[in-house]
Amino acid sequence: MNALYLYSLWVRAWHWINALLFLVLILSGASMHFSGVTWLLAFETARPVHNVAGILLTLGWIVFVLGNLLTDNGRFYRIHWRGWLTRMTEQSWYYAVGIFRNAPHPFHPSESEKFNELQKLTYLGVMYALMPLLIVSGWAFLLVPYLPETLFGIGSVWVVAMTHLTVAYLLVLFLLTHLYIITTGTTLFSNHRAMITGWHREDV
Amino acid sequence: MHCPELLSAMPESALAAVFRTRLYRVSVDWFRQVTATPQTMNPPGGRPWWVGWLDPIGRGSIRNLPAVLALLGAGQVLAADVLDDAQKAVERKACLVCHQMETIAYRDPTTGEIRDLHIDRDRFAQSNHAALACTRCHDKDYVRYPHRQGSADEALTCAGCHDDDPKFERYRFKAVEAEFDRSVHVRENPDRQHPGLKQQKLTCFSCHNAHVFRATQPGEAIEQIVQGHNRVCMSCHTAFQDPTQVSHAWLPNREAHWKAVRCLDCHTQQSALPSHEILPAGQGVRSCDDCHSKGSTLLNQLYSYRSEQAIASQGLLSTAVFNQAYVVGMSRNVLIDRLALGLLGLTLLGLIAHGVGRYRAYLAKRSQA
Repeated sequence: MNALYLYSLWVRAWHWINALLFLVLILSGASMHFSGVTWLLAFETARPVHNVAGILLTLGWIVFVLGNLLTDNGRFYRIHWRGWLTRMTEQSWYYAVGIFRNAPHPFHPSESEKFNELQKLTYLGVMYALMPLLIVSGWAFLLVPYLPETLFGIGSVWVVAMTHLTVAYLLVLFLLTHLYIITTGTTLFSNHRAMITGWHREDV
Repeated sequence: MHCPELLSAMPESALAAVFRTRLYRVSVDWFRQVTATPQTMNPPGGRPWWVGWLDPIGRGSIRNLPAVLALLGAGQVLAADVLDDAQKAVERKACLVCHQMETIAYRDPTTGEIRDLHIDRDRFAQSNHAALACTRCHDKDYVRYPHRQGSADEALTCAGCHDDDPKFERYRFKAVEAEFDRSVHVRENPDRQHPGLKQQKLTCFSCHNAHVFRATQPGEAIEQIVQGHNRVCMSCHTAFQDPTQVSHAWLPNREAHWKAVRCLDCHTQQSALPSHEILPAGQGVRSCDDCHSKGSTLLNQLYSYRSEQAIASQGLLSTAVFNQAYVVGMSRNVLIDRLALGLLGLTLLGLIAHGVGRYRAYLAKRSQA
């Protein structure tokens, strides 16, 4: 059994707070978007809940970016282009075919590489493209009086609303696949355990 | 000659003009600085700083002279303004002695029509023109009574007074005039003799009563703004007040729309400020989508107004938490919803299928072991 300490305390704390905020934002956001559906939150409740969770998510994202800049956690997100395509193909092939043939994992975490190439690309896209778009469009709802009347020839409120909605759906899609993919570790719950204890364990 | 005597010897208007200038403002700024740091004016062991103010022209108070001048100047300007306001008030009161009577009217000798001359005193006091002297707009000859027939009437328009004033730039009075000229009211009555106006010319004042007009202010309830705007239309289009009439019967929740939406929102081209280019009845908005979906200007306008109002009254942080500007349905888009929910559904099915495949592989591995 090989054990590696891959998830420092601040990363774990940020991850679980972020996860909780994601769930709250999805529930309250859906309650506002599909207002009137009985099994969702009341609109008047959902609105402040969504806004407060959104503010906290913004703060969390700032902590994440600063944490990656100020600690060595940022190194795990650097893409190494040499052999990148091969590693991507191997990883995709494993998820698409190899996993059903009980093939061995093509990637094994180490002290220098915590994520496989697919994970890395997904997390980079989510944290440095979708999240900023989500946060900026969320705050833009508040700052609409200061925006131009139209953006790209379309009413600015609509541009803001559609950006927020589309990015939110993409992040729900991410959450769904993330929840599934983390079960593809050594055991069903080995990745969950790693994000709780900080230690990644696998049979050598 | 002491300064106050010198000042009082100058004509009031000249002095007021002097102290309305930069010198006055600089002096007042200096005065503020001096009063904000009184200890600097108080030499060690000397008199308390405020003694000089009690005896401004006395011994040793020469350093206070600019401030004294500023004070006296401010007093002169203030007195001039107060006097000016008082004169206007006296004039308004004189006019309202008669014109506040609800029954005051006269029969137009040409048309035989009764013309109402009543001015609602309270509503006038709340109007944007409340501080003006009546003769600012009306002919000077009106100050004499009985009014001479030749005094009637002035070729007033809103743009005539407001067009060049940068204070009113955002209301774009020049554009309003052009829009009004293109409106159905003028197009159908190019000689501006609207049949409903009984021989009176169609002007700004056919719709906007200058004696009660009050521009919308941030903070006013939207329902009140809607009612205020619609009241203008209803003052001529009285048939719409009859609940049994069939106009707009095609409109779902007609009464709810009439309470929440201005007539202008459907009967003009939508823009940031209400347009004065009233469209013919057949060209009004009939599509629900124009207001209730993609990039509607109306939605933009409503959301911006509510947001601005919330930030002004509650502050940025409170608005960030309670943002009451959000309108139900403003982020709805049937296409995005369907595509996204479809994609999520397919992904979920794909993940379930993947999970089943993994489980079968696990069973196969176990049976081999």
